[in-house]
Amino acid sequence: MPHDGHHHDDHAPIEDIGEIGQYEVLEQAIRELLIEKGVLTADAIQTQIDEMDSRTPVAGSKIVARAWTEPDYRERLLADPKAALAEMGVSKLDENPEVKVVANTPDRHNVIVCTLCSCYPRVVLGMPPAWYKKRAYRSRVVKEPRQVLAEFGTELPADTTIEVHDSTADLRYLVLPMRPDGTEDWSADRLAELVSRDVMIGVKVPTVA
Amino acid sequence: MSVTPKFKPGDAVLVDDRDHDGHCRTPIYLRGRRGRVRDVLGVYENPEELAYYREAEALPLYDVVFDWKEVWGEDSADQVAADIYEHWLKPA
Repeated sequence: MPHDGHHHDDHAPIEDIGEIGQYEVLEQAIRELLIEKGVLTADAIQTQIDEMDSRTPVAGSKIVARAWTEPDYRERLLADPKAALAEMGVSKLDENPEVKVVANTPDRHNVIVCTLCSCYPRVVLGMPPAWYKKRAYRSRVVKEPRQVLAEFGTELPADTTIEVHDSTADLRYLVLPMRPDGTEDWSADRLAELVSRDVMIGVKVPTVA
Repeated sequence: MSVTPKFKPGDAVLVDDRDHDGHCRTPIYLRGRRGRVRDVLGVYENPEELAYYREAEALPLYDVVFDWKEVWGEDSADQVAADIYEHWLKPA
């Protein structure tokens, strides 16, 4: 039924899904075989997809905010991240790659990349942004990090050492940014709002407007 | 079975400059470069075998830090850190 007769703005065209690549064909074939052979159920696959989709950077933001407000928690987070994440209710830590937390200091800024693929601390940040998986970010941040950070609007002092962590193996990295000046009397909840996904990847630093 | 790491924090290491077909977690841009072990991250099964469901050896994994000049030939205080399995490292 036509409603109201008002004009709808044109929306972006729906992505053409007419052609599928060889990996999609392979994935579909394997998925169908696994279901047919009773190894997996379609329901189990969907549950896993929903579980991945339900993870968001909010978990990471709360962890960082607590580390900013509780020095003891910060120490635990750096020394035993698994236990510290569990304390904050992060689930299924045993089924996900270990997370290592690297702390920014006035002298040292950390930025995370996976030059080989798209390893990302999904258990605390959810799915990676599209740019994180793109060749441009992966090949450039390891070679010209200062320029890449500048493109994210991040200008670091010239004497700050940038450390680029290439997540090459079994660990995933989370950046613990520095708490911005002027937030001394802020609550953890308010602080968490400053902690975006991008500051936990290390392409941005948290700022107070 | 316990595996004793060959290297300890502070050790100078050289990443082996060899070719490798198939799944491999040692980036090409770090092969043949010298770095320093910062941390022993634990013991993990060799992903080069695990990826093909073959029996995988348990290998120490190291956090290795590389100076900018060593990797890119340019003067800078910036650094690259990567996690490298022991069978790719030699004493330097």
